[in-house]
Amino acid sequence: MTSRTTEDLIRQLAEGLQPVRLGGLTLALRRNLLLAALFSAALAVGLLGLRQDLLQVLDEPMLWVKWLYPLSLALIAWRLAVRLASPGADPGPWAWRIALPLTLMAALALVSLFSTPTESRAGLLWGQTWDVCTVNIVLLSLPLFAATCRALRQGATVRPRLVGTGAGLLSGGVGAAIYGLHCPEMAAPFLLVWNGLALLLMALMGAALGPRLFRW
Amino acid sequence: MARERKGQEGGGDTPRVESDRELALRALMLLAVGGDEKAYGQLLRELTRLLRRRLSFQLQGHPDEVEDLVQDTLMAIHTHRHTYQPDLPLMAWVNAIARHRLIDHLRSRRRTTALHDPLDDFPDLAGPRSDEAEEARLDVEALLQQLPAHHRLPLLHTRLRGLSVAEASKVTGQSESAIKVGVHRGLKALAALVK
Repeated sequence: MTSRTTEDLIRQLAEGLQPVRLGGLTLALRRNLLLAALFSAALAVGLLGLRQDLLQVLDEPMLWVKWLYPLSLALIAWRLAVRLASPGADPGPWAWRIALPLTLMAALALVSLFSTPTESRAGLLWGQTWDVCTVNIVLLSLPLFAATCRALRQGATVRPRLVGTGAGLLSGGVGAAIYGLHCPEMAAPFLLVWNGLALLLMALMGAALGPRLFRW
Repeated sequence: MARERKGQEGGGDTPRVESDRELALRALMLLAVGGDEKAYGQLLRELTRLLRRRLSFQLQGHPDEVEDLVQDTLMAIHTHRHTYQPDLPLMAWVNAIARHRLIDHLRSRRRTTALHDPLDDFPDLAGPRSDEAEEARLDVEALLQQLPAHHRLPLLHTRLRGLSVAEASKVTGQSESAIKVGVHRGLKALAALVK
């Protein structure tokens, strides 16, 4: 192929050039996540049931932690994934910021453990629903993961594994927050471990599927 | 001559020095994103120059592959131009796309050289070519049948039936971008078939 054909190609590509919207991926992600979140919330409330004492505990800070912790993690993962969806982009500050909510939660858990008598500590960790918490969060996160990846595929990433991990954390974070509508647990150590496990599983799933999902 | 620019988030107040070229190309890109054909043509021509230079260096043993890969990269840039984030350097974006296409190219090159057709070693066994077969080979329509639909149809409509890209797009349901890419790739595939 000669340089003349390249000139032909350039002329062809420029002819009838359609404008493109640069923020399209973010808009698609926002829309998809909203729809999937409504779906998962309906599942949580319909199949698992809204927690009975929800109105009573609205003034307890721990309830808000249960939502803010996974949601802040989800937000950071969002910024990471969207940024990396563009080829040539570096993660910027978003990669290390992932550690922030986790660190704060770990600190809360430690404080909680140390301010409880030794014999009650195991109770803080195991709670009453340790055996279903992680599974439920993962199940609620799956529709969110599908919705997230569908939007992220509009990109052209050169870091598919990292984008996948971000997608996993994003969907896991929102899923965990939605699960908070049902989950009765209020102990920081419980949340750290069992929410954390769900987030880890979602992140690993995203990392594993990333290279295949975000091919171009 | 370089110009100073404040660093983006994470860099705080560190000034980032960016070349005139980067800023000029970025300006062209933003115009092109808005649909400016002239700016886009200028941008692609400049990028072609840069890509050709880079790829000639990276593909030193195979100079014949350079132009193919330049075109491949241009098409990838065109198809994925919506992924550019304006607060990131354009050349980083372009180079990432170029590198991705290069890796793909090297991988497929390794695959095809590994799939050595044993018949090539014994040309007599391939069978005689009759005159009719030769004529059929040169029959354009027959050649077109050997192409996959997404190359054959754009070529059929734009070249043989004389439709414009927009009309062909309506008929086939493919986007205009896909039609252009299909025509270009189809022509290349045809050229390879008649070699």
